[in-house]
Amino acid sequence: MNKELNFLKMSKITVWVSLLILTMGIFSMIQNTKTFKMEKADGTISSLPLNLGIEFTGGSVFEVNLGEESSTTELRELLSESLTKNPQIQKSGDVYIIRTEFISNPDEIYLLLESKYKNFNKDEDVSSERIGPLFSQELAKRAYLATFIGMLVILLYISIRFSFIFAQGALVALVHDILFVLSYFAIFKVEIGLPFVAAILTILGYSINDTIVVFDRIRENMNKLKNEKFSKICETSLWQTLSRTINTTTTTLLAIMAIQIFGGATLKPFTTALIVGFIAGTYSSIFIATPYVNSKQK
Amino acid sequence: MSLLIKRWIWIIGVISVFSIAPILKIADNKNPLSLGLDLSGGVDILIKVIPPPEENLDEIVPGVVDVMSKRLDPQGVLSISVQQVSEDRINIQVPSSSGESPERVRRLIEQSAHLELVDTGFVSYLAGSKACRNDGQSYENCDLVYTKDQVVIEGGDLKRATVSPNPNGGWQVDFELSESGSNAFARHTASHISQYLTIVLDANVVSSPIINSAIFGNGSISGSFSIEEANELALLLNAGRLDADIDILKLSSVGAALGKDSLEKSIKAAWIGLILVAIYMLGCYKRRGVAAVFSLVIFSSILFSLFSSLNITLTLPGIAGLILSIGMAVDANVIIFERIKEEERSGKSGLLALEEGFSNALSVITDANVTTFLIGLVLYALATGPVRGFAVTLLIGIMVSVFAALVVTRAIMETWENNE
Repeated sequence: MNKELNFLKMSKITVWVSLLILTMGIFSMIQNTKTFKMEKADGTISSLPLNLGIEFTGGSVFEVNLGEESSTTELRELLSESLTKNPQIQKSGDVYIIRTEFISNPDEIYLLLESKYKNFNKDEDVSSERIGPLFSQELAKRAYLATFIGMLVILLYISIRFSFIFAQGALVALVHDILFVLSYFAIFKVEIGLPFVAAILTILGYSINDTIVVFDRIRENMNKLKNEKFSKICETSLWQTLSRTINTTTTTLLAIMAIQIFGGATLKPFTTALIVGFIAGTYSSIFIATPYVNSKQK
Repeated sequence: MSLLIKRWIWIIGVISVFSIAPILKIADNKNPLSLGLDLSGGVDILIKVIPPPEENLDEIVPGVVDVMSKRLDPQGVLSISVQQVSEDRINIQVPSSSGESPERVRRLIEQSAHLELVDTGFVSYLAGSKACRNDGQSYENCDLVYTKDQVVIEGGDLKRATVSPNPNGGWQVDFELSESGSNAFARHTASHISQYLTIVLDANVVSSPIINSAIFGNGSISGSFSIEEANELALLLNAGRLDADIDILKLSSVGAALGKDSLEKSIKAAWIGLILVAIYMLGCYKRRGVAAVFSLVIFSSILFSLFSSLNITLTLPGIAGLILSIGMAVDANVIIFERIKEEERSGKSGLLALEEGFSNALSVITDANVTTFLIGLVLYALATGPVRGFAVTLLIGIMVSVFAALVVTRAIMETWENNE
């Protein structure tokens, strides 16, 4: 076995890297509360640590294809005629993404656009998402609850199939991955919408899969190599599963990169979260989950 | 019968059973896979039904569903779905292929379409005046306040509404009354000649015509309607009035052009992704890679047929679930191949290495898939809407991926070994 490359030893260094990134993430979240605000259903304003999308805050997003050249400033000027609050406008390819407060009836906006851009057709060239504040709070609550219960179920299953220590290890790795992805989104201020929730769930599944592959090997080696020290068993298991880890991560990343590069603009936030999460998931099963189990197991 | 033959019978059996539905659909000239509105374009609206005070929600909601269906699809020929999704929620989905524009759909849903013909004596009101019915509730800024006794005809008394050109320009809505409505109308108009009958729609005065003679059976509403407005009003009146208030909780509309674009790009991206994965597997595992690719092709075709058989609507989050299950399918193959390699390194060869490899990989494939499956179940039980779509494709995907890895890949590899 390679003496210089020792995963458990390396993990003592990498844990600091993880902590550094997570600290940066938390710092950004605190900073973000100055920028991102949300109006609750009862009218109170609360600060947000992340750039939460309308699925969480309520509001409207219009994606419009104007069919001709324009600029975000020009659009903003045009729309200020009918909107009271300044809309957020972003360009993505040929599509302009306009974010406003919750507007149930956008006829005025469409009229303005149709009068200015002759190729624009409100039935063909617009996608919109409008979510009332009450409903968004309900959606967010459900998403949190599902994630929480999902984790409990995992804890229970791994406790039964492996042991409680392994379950803790898997959970620590999972929490790490979620925090890691959240940190990324906090630092780069990427918007968190429903696709992000789907991505977090996918990452949960992938990360737990990755961790279990390593744990399964440790369990097997605990029976085979009864006289070895536990740290040696962990190290051997990590090495034995390494080529599988590399191959699986590469193939999955290849598929997601393809979607990131060739897929539509709407899929980008989703695939970005997946790429970050999958890398974190692979890393954490080697450098977080296993060292954690090793430190607790006597 | 050998185990291997049994496996092949299983594979062929599964493929043929599940391919019945898609083949029938294609033969029927239908789309074998139904795509969500986020991919194919259309409008998806979630509304909350707020019943009037002292009314029971359970009795109101089915009526609202019925009225909405009639408003959006009076002939019942379009593929529009109006479904009660929880106690007070109704989900309305209108694909862009139906030709309805999102904003028209919204207008049709929002209006309550309360039509009342009110006896206002010798006073006429201007169109657009605010009219309030005095039913014990507070009313402010009302130009016309009337009581229940002043109402001569209600929307419910109408049998049918049609549109015709107004002799004075514009368009009007003609209505035919039911028998009881017709009698009441005739009695009233006969005894109130030269008085005004004010037409009130959703608390707004439409017009305030004078009664010239007794009217039997039918009448007309002539405001200053364009043809679209007249058509819409006739449609609303024919569908009947809403007995509850409606609150739009969520509305998503995807333009047909934008939806198509994102679908085309996603399909292209998925193909490129799959080809890259196939190339990598072939490069990494040479001949075994062929088995993996073949197994993935079977996995995809079973998945596709299953979605078609179970009438599952594929949405964007659904595709996320698919990606995860494809990833799990590839991973299972990788785990198996790595195990077989290990067995070969320890001196075993041929069929023996294969058998050992599969049996050693079994526990990890089970544990990994069971945990992911459990997450899927939790999500399915707790989440709503899009996340639920993710859970459904994930659950089905995992079941098929385990089958593909443990049965299909194994059958292919054993067949090869046997032929050598």
